[in-house]
Amino acid sequence: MCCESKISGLDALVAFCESVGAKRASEWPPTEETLAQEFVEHFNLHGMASLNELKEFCASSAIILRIESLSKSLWGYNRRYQDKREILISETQLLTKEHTLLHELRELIEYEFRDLGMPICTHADREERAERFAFSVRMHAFGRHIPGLMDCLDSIESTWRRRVAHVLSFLFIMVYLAGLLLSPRLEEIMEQRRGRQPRLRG
Amino acid sequence: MVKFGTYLRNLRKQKGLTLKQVEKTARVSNSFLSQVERGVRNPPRADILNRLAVVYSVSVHDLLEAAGYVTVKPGEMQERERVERAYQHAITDPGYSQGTRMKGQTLSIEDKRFIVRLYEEATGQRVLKED
Repeated sequence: MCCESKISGLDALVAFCESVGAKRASEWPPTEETLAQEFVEHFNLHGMASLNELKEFCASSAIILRIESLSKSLWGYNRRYQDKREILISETQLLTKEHTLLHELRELIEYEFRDLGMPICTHADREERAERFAFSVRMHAFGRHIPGLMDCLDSIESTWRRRVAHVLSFLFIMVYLAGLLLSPRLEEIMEQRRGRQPRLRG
Repeated sequence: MVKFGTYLRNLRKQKGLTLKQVEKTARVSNSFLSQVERGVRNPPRADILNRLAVVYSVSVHDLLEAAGYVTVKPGEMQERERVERAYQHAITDPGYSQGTRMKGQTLSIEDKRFIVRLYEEATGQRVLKED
């Protein structure tokens, strides 16, 4: 994933929000899918949105990222105070650190929209929207790979090899998308099981 | 301690919900809820409190305590109220924006204490003062 916004640091998120505000003013508020698409295009994100790549994005956008032990009920936490933006991610997550990071990022973005007088979320739908945004960003970032992948597959000369490659690629895409969709639920189930495991006596 | 009805109304207002919205999500009659909030009726049964706890994002234990179904030691109650006050301060400070991704629907008093600590760390304010 690359982060090639022309503006870096603190102003990068503000510039993004201003750009979306101007572009989508006639259809405000945008859906999370639209916002995610704008986000991916604005920051030129592409790839699997791995944790290291997202860390790189945070560093370039002056967002402090901490992965550490959080309170029992929290997967993630975000805060903005004066010019400081920070995201805290629970280190116990196995599958959803990236998802949680994008969820918290969405809430940081909302603060900027609020400052611009263009809030998108209400108190009631904030969490649900952040969840949809997190999923959509990863889907759109991944989707940008697909045309290149198809071109690559089409260049295979042998017909049967090309067909096999298409089938395998299709399966991989389906598994990846299912993984994106199901990972938050799987993480919850794993967390519940961790909570139920009896403690060893010393 | 704040009266149960007032406590319940404050929780609803903090969430920005109307009685009708609570009726729909918690499956509790809005007229009944209105009477409870005004102190005309006694606190609801535990199963109703359980549903309200989910809607208001508080622990069911907090509601049971407020309703008088569960008693806690005086010192413990004082500590809970102290953390709750500090937490309310942190989440309503207009200069401080914060959000969470939660594992469940509610925050325990320990989670709230953790959030208050993060607030104190960022702002340099000491809101979790000893009484």
